[in-house]
Amino acid sequence: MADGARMLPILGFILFMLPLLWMSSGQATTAMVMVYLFIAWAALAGVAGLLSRRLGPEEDQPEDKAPDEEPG
Amino acid sequence: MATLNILVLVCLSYVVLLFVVAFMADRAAKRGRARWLRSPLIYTLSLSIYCTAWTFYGAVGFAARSGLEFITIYLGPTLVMIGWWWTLRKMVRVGRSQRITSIADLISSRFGKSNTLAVIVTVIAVIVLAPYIALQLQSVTLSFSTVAATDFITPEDTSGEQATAFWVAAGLALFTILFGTRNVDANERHHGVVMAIAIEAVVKLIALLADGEFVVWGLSGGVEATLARIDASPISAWDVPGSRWVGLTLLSAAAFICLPRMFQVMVVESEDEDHLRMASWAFPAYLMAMSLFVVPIAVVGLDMLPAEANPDLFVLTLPLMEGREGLAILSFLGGFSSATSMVIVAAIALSTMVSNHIVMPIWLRSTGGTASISGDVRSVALLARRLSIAVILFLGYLYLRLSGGGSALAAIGLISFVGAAQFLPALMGGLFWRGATRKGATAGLGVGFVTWLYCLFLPSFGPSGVLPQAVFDAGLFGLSWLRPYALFGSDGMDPVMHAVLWSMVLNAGAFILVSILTLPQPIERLQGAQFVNVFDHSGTPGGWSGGFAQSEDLMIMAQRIMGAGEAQALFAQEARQQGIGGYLPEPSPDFLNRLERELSGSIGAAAAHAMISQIVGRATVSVEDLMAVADETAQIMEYSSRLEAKTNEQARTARQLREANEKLTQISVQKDAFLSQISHELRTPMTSIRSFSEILRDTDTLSGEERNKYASIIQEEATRLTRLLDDLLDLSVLENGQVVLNRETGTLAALLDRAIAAADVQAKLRILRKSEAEQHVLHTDLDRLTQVFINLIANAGKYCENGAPELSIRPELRDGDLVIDFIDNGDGIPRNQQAVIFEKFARVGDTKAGGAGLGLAICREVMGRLGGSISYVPGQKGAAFRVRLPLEATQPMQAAQ
Repeated sequence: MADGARMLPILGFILFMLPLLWMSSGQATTAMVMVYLFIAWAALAGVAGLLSRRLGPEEDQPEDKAPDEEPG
Repeated sequence: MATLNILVLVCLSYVVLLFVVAFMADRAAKRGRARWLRSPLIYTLSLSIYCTAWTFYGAVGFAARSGLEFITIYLGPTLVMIGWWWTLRKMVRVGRSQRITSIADLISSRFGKSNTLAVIVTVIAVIVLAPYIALQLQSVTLSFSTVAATDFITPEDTSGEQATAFWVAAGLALFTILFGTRNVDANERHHGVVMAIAIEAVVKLIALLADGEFVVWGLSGGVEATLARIDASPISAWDVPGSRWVGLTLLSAAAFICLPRMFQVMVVESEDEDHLRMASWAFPAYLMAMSLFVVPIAVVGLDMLPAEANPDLFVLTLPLMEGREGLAILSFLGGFSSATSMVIVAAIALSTMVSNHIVMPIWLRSTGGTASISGDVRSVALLARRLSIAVILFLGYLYLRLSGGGSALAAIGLISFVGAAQFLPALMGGLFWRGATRKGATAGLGVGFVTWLYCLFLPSFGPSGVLPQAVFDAGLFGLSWLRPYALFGSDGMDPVMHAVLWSMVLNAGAFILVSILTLPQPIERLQGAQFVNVFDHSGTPGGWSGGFAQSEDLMIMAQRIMGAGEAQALFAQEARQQGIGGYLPEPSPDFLNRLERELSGSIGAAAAHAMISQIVGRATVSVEDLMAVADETAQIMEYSSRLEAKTNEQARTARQLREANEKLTQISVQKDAFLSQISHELRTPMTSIRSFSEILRDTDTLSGEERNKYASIIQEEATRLTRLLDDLLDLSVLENGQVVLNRETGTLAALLDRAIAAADVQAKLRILRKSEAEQHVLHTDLDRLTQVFINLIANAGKYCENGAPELSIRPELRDGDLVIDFIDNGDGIPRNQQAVIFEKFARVGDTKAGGAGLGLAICREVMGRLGGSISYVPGQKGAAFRVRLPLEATQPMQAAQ
């Protein structure tokens, strides 16, 4: 799961850079790209949400000791 | 103008509302009822200060000018957030475990708590942020004048605008000071501020969404129609420069991490590392919602508004044009929120840096460097922060005036982004690379900052602002490869991308190269390990290993910095934990660490460390300390080797003592044997004397012959007794040094003749002599020397057990001494006896009858008196004694003649 969380930004980068390839065809329009980007964006946020839920506290429990106990 | 008055009124009431919210939040936090204040939702919303007036107004302007390119500014942060597991988690963990107060604090802590580095980062941050703050001032000023004017065109009269800008700056400064500097401890977290920011985040989102809803459904007639309208607009073509698309995405990602205000809300104000979990998806969603209607608003604005209208203000001018005053005021409030939240947090972050890393160190040094002097550190820190907020806003205003205020908002913002991105190599290098050194970080930051200044910041004042036109055309000093927009001949690049490329390449290059070439100091290694491996040991920072601090001094210092009440509470709590009553806990390492963390919240890590070092009297481990430790070790080693030598010596002494003891024991045994011997020796003659004298007295029938015989026996025995007693007396006299030497002159040959005659052994002992060697004239006590010779010759006669006993006497000159050897051909003296034969009462073996064992002892004493010696020479055929006389006692015959 932690690996998935690490890969997600790379996937996101690829998705966000993909429209650059469409420019050469000349057929893509701003509206199309915009719709695509927002769908990809929403999907990434959704996956990130799922991942963060699955990366439960138990996964990093051993290293999650609060270093400083706040007084009071 | 009625609208303007309403606007000012709305602004003021909005500000009052924010104050109330902040005040309530602070109070709730103080009472500990602030669980909801620490929710991940608030954290996520507070991150929204990324969306400033640049987003609210500038994004639409950006889109109207360059189409979809604006979106890259939000794609970058999205990537950073969904990649939180990589970087943000580590930053927050480090920030919490090291009590980091700002990005300057983080970098300086990582590189050995170096204050120089902190100062560099602070200065860069202040300069970098000036354009950004100018951007906020400009947008608020523009929005005021736009609402005031009614023709939707930015008024030409800039003097009025500059006055507005000044008042906006002053108002924001006051606002920030009131908001942000009520408490000193940056690590106490500004609950009120965060809460206010969260509310502003909601306000600006609602305002933008409402605006977008109005544009899409109110003005365009639905989603389909809006998409068709976009296709028909001047920005319909999907045509962005690829380099800018990639570059801006990465740049915004870098800036998102490095901007001081983002660092403030993301790391410093973070309550719980776990909040990132929610922020990782909720913040990208927020950004997406913020950008959702940007393109439609831009397109509709371009379509419906006059061509001269400033596209940066479409958000405001579209509702105004349609007569939707309420929506316009909401939009205005949204923009106002965006600008104020950014300015507040940025100014708090920067002022913390300035006061912690520049003002406080100077103040501490100027007051003698101790915290125990009179004067309240707390009030100085507060004053420093308030002044720096005012200065920072004034710098922003100055930039606005100097740059003319005519640029597009996004263009101004990008200048700041590139500047802030200069922190990235040092920050990431510090978090992930243990080999990074302080010098490397300093070099990278310096090179990157200078490149940014030259390629982007200074040119932003216009062609003849700061840099003369000639520099743009021909390069610095006429060197064409130093043109600010075409470094190293890179012609034709977009200026922003050009600056990003060169500043980051040179920055990272210098950072890596210098880091490789230099060695980190011990404290850098320590901190590096703590930062890079923060998840392995999220333990205590620093480390006060022992040492005795004066708790009272610490208390005095802590009171000045934290305030009396809090310091006393902290000390009392610690004392309770240690099981001690009262206010003064033991200065245990744990307590010192905790105190340092608490103090670093107020005055920065470096200063806190320095102050505690001073009181504890134990500076951080430096190379000198390590050398001293090494010296000490060497001393201990030397000492132990000396001890070892002494031990060896003692072992030698012990061995000698043992030998001496053995000898003493042996002597004692021999003395006992002698005593029984001498009593026997005395008894035997006494018994015969008594018996014969009784016979003489009691028997009357004795013949004259018998009487004569008995009397002579008595006389003989008496003589023997006398001799024995003489010997004892003689030895006693010699040993006590009471002997008087009677020096005479004579030859060795005559002496030996006398001795042989006196010993009376010629009958049974053959004596071999070298008469040619005996021609020495002696000047010494001849009688005593003769006594020695007699003794030796008589011994040979008595003890030599050969069938044909021989004694050879060999005088010779050796080393200037006269040496006379007496060697017989008997069995010699057993080895175990050799050591004691010269002692008193020594007798070789038990069976030999004869003397009382005093002869050789007397010989030794005599030779000692004469200045010579007598010794036993082992390894000859038989018993061999060597008599040695010093030269002055002898003279060769020739010399005498």
